[in-house]
Amino acid sequence: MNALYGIASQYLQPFASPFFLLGLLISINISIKKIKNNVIKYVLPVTFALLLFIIYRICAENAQIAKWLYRLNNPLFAVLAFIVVPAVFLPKGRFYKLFLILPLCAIIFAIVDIVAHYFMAREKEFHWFVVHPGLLISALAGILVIAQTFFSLDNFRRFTRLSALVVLLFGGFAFRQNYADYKAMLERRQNAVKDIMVLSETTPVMRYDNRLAYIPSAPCRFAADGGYVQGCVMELAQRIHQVNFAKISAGDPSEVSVLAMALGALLAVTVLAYIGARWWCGWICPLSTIGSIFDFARRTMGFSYIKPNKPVKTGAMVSGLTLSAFTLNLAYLYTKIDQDGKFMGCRLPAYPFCKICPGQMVCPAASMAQTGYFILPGMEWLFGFFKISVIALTGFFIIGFLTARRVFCRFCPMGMFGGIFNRGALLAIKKDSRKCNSCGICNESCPMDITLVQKEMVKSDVSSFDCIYCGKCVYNCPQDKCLSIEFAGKKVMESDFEKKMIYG
Amino acid sequence: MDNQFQDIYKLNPQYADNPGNMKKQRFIEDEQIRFCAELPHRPSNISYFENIMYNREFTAKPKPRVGYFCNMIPPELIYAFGAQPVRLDCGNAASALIGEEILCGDICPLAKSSFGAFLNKSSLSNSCDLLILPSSCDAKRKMGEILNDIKPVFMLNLPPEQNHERFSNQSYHEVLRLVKFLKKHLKTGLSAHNLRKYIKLSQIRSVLIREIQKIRSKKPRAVSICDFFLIIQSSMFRPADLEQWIEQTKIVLDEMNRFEPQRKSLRTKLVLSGAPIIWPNFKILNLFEECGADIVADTLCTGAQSCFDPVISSEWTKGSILRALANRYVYASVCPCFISQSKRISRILELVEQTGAKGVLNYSLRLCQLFDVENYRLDRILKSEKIPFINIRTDYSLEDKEQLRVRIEAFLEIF
Repeated sequence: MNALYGIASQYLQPFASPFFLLGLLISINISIKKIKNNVIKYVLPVTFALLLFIIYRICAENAQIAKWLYRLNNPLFAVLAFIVVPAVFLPKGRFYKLFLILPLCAIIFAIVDIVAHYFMAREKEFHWFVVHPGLLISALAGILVIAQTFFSLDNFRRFTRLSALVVLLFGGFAFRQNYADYKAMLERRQNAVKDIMVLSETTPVMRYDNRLAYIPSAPCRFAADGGYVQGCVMELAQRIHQVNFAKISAGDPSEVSVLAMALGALLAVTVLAYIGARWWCGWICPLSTIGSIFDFARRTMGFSYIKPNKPVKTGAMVSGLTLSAFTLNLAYLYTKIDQDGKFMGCRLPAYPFCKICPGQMVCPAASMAQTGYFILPGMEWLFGFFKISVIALTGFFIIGFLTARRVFCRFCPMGMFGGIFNRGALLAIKKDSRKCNSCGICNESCPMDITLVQKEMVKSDVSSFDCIYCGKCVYNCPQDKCLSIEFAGKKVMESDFEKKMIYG
Repeated sequence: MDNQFQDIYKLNPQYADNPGNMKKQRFIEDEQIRFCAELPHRPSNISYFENIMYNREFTAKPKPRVGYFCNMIPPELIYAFGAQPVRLDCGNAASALIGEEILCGDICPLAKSSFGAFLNKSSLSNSCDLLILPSSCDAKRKMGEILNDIKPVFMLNLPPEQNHERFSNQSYHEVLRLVKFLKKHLKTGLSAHNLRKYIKLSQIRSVLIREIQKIRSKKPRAVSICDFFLIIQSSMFRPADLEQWIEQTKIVLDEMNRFEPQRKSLRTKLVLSGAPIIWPNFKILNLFEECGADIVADTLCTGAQSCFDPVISSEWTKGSILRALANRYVYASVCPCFISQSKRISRILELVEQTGAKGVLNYSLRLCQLFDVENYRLDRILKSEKIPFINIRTDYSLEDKEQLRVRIEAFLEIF
């Protein structure tokens, strides 16, 4: 199985490139929007994909380019290109049923892989299961694609969020090379050094091939067994700020490779953000999924949500931007510290934003790892900035999710990065204003409390900076075909009142 | 809760015992009953709806009865309090005459007629325990204080504009005030469970009405517009049991599905818009029925539009449901009392497109300035869209029936 995986990853290399996925989606976008002919509509993306494949092969001949291309590759892109994109764009007919064999195969392969790993393991003690990362992610995508046919939109989103939470917080189990690796991880977690500077102890052990993968929402790197992705966008931003350019100009090879890796990761995550924008917040982000547990508690207790007023909403956004800018500067100053680990007499942590981020509290707590607060030293670090901020922000996180749905997400700088791509990228919310009865359920059901969808009566594009594409407005809209979510020019979902009444 | 009306100037209620006028009221109703009886393709169970609508005995009431005006008061809320909501807007021309004697003459016949019903001691309006009025138009706004002499009245303040961002909290608090009022006078609590139950029922009602309208736009003869209005209005203008009503309407829908017209219909399809048409004032509907045109869709607050928008709550907590009620009844309304009329125009254009109607009919009630003024834009927009348009401006009286017939026949000549 290992050999098979090796061969497969060798040959599927071009498809695991973000450029391939991006090119494919843009060609689909153009062909759906511009081309009327039915045959060319399907032929164009396929030819374009083949062309990209050939270009990639030619470029890979050059060793220098190949190194860069390899750095960007991630099985996630291949899975998106082969399982998710056809599931979205193939017309729901006979072809679609034929296509469903592919996700089914992915699931079967993953199961076979787990079984093979189990029998190969030298020690037969139970240590959860082990699977190749590519197969895990493709099996997950396969399950989601198949599940999509059974669930209503709202339930499908819940299912997606929960499965993403499991993989992003506990997915590390699947990447252990062997049982010894697992035990080593447990040990490291036991004697986590209390010193905040040393981050490696709380980071996942995975690094299958020393590649950094990021997604544009908040999968915390401090989750105990988080494995599949390295972390959130803010982590990457701090990493880039921490690059020591003095060392680079001196020609330090390790620092150069750090910069190269970070830049590669930035490119890959930008591609993901261009494709999904803030969709990642609504459907994947584990931080908000944990927050939704508080929301769920409120709902079951029967309390109604509070609609935050404008000052609160703007204040959350402004403080998010200010705090992230300030901590990114601190991250830059980290490169300037002296031998005592101090900058101008102040001690600084390696990842300053992470130290105040509620994600570092919540995600590790959910996955039973060291939470940020308890390993944070006292007030001597920048006059207690970290200690006070983390308490305040975690309080805001919990109270925000308990009372006002997603008001915290207006603060989240990781989400704001996705928000940049909300307008003009591949995803969009469309409104047929003529069909609107302006009942305002779109605003009422919107966890981000966006009023634009109800207000806009002229333009058809109603996506805004804060939209997380949770699809609740589309799901709840009582006017048939009034609201829809468009992905690369294709209507992915549409409001349909009668269907909702029938299927719940 | 604070008093909306000061008790110091409270007057004794007035009643007008006028047997001649009562006879006239009954005569108008009988005329309409006779007309309806001769309609083609009536549903087999129409007698159920007729019994509700034609009933004139309102003294027996198993539940407390809460009367309300306009389509901006959430009846689901009243149901959830264990009371029976009844919409009190009245369409009787004779009742308008008697109301005119006491109220001023220069307000719309709907207000006069609804007020006239209160002057008769044995009417449905007088059998209600509480009254709820929205501050939709001037007549309604001032009528509340007069009616407060007779029954406890609640005035629901509407926002001047359907801007959700600015006014949604305000209308939510108005609904909360309404809940307080009902709690105080009905002496029962509000449970989220009951609310949910009646919201589900009204959602089913709107699905049924949507289905019927969809079938009617394809085969308008499956049920005539008069019967359709009768079915809709029997669920709100009289104390009807909603669950039973849904059962019966499902039978109607089944029959409509099975209905096959014998020959191709040459009758013109029209979309009706404008002021409310309330039983027994089906004058316009009768005329179009007789002149050979089918009204396939409407934007009337007493027609299909009144049930078309469902109450949708994103979650089933009490506050969220109350917000949903405010949204549906205030913000989804096409009433001209709000500042912008663009929603009504786009609704009409949308209905014309959906049903394949050939023309649009605007019924504007004389002395209702709101509809009159809206006519300016509607007329010009429809002309620019090249949709034939007729504006019929009339009141409840039956005298101008023949003049209208001439106008309508001339209008239908276009097609």
